[in-house]
Amino acid sequence: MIKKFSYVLLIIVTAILLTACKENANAPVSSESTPSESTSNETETTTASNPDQLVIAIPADVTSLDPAITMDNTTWKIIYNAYERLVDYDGATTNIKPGVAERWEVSEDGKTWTFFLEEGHVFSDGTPVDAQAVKASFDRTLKIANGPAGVYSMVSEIRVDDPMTVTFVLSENFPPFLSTLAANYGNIVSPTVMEHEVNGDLGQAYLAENTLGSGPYKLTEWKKGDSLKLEVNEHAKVKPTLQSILFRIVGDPSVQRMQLEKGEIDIAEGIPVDQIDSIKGLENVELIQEPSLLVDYIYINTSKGNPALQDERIRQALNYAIDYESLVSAVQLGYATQMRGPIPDGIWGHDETVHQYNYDVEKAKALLAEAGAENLTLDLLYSDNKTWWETEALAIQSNLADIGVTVNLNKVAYATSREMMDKGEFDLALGVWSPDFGDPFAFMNYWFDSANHGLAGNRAFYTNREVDQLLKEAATNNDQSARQEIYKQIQDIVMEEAPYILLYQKDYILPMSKDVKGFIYNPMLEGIYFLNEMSK
Amino acid sequence: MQINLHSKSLKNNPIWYKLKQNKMTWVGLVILGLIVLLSLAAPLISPFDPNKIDLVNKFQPPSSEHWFGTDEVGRDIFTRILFGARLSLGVGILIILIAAVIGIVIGTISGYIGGIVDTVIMRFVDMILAFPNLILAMALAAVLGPNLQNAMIAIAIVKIPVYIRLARGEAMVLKEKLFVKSAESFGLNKAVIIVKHIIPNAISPVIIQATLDVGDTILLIATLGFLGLGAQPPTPEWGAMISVGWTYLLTYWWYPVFPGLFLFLASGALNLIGDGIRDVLDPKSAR
Amino acid sequence: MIKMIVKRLGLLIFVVFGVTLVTFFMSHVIPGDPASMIAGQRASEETLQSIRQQLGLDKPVWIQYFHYIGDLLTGDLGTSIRTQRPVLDELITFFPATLELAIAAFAIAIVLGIPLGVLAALKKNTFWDNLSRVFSISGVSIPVFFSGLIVILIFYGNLGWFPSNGRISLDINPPTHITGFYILDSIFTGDMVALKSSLEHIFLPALVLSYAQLAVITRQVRASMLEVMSQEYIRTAVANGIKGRLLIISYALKNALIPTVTVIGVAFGSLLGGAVVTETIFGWPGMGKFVVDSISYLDFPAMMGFTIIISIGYVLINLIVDIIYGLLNPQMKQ
Repeated sequence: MIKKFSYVLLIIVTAILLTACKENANAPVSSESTPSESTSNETETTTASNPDQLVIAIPADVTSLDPAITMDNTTWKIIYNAYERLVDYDGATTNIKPGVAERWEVSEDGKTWTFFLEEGHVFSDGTPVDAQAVKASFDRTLKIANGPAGVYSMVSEIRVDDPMTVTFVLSENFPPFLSTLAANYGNIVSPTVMEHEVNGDLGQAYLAENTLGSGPYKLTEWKKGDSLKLEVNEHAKVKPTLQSILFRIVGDPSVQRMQLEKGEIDIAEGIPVDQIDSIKGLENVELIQEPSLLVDYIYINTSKGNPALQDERIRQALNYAIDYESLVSAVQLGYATQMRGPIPDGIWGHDETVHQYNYDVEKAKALLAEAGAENLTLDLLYSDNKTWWETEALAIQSNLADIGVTVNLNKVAYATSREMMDKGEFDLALGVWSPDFGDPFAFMNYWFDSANHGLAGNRAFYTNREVDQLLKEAATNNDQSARQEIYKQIQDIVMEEAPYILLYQKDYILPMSKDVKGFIYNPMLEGIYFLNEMSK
Repeated sequence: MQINLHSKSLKNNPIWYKLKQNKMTWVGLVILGLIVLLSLAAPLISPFDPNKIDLVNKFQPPSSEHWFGTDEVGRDIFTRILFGARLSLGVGILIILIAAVIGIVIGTISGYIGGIVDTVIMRFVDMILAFPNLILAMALAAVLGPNLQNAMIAIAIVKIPVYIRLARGEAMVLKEKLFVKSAESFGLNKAVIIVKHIIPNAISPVIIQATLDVGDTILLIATLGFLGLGAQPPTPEWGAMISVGWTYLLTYWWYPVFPGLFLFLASGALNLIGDGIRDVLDPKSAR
Repeated sequence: MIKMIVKRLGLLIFVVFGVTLVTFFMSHVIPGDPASMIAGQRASEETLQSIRQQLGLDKPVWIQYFHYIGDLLTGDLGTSIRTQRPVLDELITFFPATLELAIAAFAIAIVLGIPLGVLAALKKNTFWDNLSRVFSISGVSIPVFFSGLIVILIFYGNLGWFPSNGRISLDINPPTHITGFYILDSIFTGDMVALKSSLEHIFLPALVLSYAQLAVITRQVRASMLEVMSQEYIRTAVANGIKGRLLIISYALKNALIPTVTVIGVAFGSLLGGAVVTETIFGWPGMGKFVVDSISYLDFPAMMGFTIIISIGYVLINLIVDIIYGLLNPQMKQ
């Protein structure tokens, strides 16, 4: 028995030895003999050196690809180009241009929107895009009732007027409605998705792994945990230059950098800002730097946290205690700008006259003394969701220590932090926000309306009846200049009452190969590529 | 470690002389001793505060002022490594102590009492042992929430079953021994027998296992730290330092490399010591 | 023997049941709401409610558990919250990659570990013994995440000998799916291009992973070699004039390897654990990455599926090891 076994073992070991030797032998040989090296190198580099193919390294795999489900920015960048929308953002601006709809009309009360569709748009399975398809797609989103449906909660009815005309009836006036249609949740899905329905799931299982739209590309391959491939949708009306797009999942930033340097990838999405400077030295790489609408700020829990925070003077003191300039340079290496008011630069309603807190330790101490706060200790909640929060939390801790406030850092898992924010279980918390549509509503109404306490947006649990009233007025008025005036008024109040510490508006930074042409950055669609405009 | 070796059960043992001959064990002891000394003397050696933020001086390369450079918020890495040594070694030993104590108590009870109690306990032990160490520790740490204390609890839970098994095995042998039988015949309470007779005699294999486990434990804490489930900054724990620092490897190599080096040295030293001890004792415990 | 197998399989059922119970209730104690992860950055209470309802999260925990076990008995592991795919499909996608990596690493550990152990035993307490000791113990003492990165830096970054990421080059189609192991599949289908590429891709991660397990094998081989060599029949063989290193090795190694089998189970479990971290660094599309993502998303059906598979796999491997050991060593049967 023992003999038999040792024979088996011997064979196994020899087999392994042989393969191992082969692997070992391969390595040095391929480095010495030129022909074998060049072949092995070719197989590695053709992916990005192919002028018809764009290779983008993303840091993590994506979730469900169903436009009615996903609220994940990384997933959006994959599927956005596989679908079309009624309207689109115009280039780099927040202006709206026709998409599938060649023109549209809106009733005076803002509740009825009619879209006239352009002929000739076809889904990737050959089905034409018509009013019925548009209705079916939006009805499906509403029926699935996930995140994207939340955006369209005011849609009460979708009507097909004739084969190429569709009307949306809203339950209330919602001025930003048009720009929601240009975002990813406005993607129109082919009605044939219902052929793939399993157990009444409205095709969710199918669309989780496939695309079925009229955009210039379609998903042709998804190697889970490894890569996703988009190829040209031959039915599409728009004909792009790049024949295929490869999204490659590379988790490690150092590896991404090496791949970019070697030309194996064209775009590296996962390189943190504090390593960007080292990219600047690479001669085949350029750095895209654009102002973004992503803001980074601190929620001060005004009602459920430490009772001291209910005092406006203490909240102001905290605002004065932050060394904004050093923070921006330490945390974002200067690739950011201190915020002025809750509405970032780039969205109408941003106002240069709104009060901005500056770094003033004496004033902060005086305010604390006036409020009678001594030995104040606060918890600062944050998670690993943003790589820079670690440094940011440490900097804030040190800033507040200078005015005599002790800060305990409370770092938790991302999912846990979401729950704690929703329930208000924190004193201070780090957060980021980016708008879903190009309207001040996306900041003001979510952050300050007391109806939105918790995850819905008002994470300071701030309540001011006057502000609530003004917000409501601003949301239901169709006159932009009147709305701007109201929003200015609200900004003055909330800057005074300081339910948040507004830190900075981040820049969008993207290392990209110099070969890539036609990249357009739209702040409303951060991280999404207009692939049909791009070439190599 | 050294304290264990000097304890009375081992001192006048031929094993002790055997151990003396094993050079690599001594290399391990010297390295570990140096690290312990350095960490104890940290405040004397370094003028810096391990947690003082100095944003102006961030990412300074190694120099005569900052021997191992500075990190992303300008803290001196050398100082943090020294203070981290206290933490990493202390926590490693503490976890094993907790696991060993709990393991001995449960294991001896299980082995001595036997019957249904033993069966239930052993099924639980089997269940825990049905998982790879790291994965179970990861899952537990994730459930309990990511911080050092919870990581310690998670690792202790993972380690306990090994000690239960060891102590139980010893207890089952001891149970049949004459002195235990005679104690029973005097009508001594079971708890008293366990405390007075079983535990003291079952303890030495547990101590040996414990010395073997410390190196592994330090690595586990660091790995949990790397996965974001262990010690949280600004705690100067080595794993947490590497976890933050390793993304900077290409740009600021000193940040992950020095804590990594110390983690390697400490864990290597402990493993060498453990290996030496096992070597000496192995023929006895071999199958 | 059969009694032992039946007993172990009985244990397996107990383990799986216990594991589901513990994991399920633990994953529901975690503060955090999967619905809030799906719903997007700002989520109204209505949206959250509707998602919870669809996922069945609005029901009491024990009812959820009851449903889960009911489905499990019919072989349904549920649907992943994060990816919306059946968990079983996810596991079938990711498990072979992890297993392939672990087996390759194990093979390397054996190939390097046995000679090192033999060398150390033959040259006991010499420079070579110490060298072998330091080399193998270094492996256990370096965290995988650290050695992984350094290896990438050297062999990919500087030398360019090996690729950095993934299982196979992106230009090359993976071999036809037979076992899910790229190396085996490409041998079966005779696809030499795929074979070369998969070998190149697996080499670095397997090397790093194996180094961490090397000591277990080396030390065990050394110890049992020493023990065997001190035994009567080897001494007799030497006394009877059978000399030469080769003979000693073949006599002694044959017997020394038997106890080594017992550490295989332990080592393999650690390999699976280490694979989780190795995969993260080498972008290896296996279960490790999938699980880490699932944990951060509170995707408990995925977490449960993973723990069930791992515990079954682990118990089975230990069972196989014990069977082999029992067959090799008839005295063991009491």
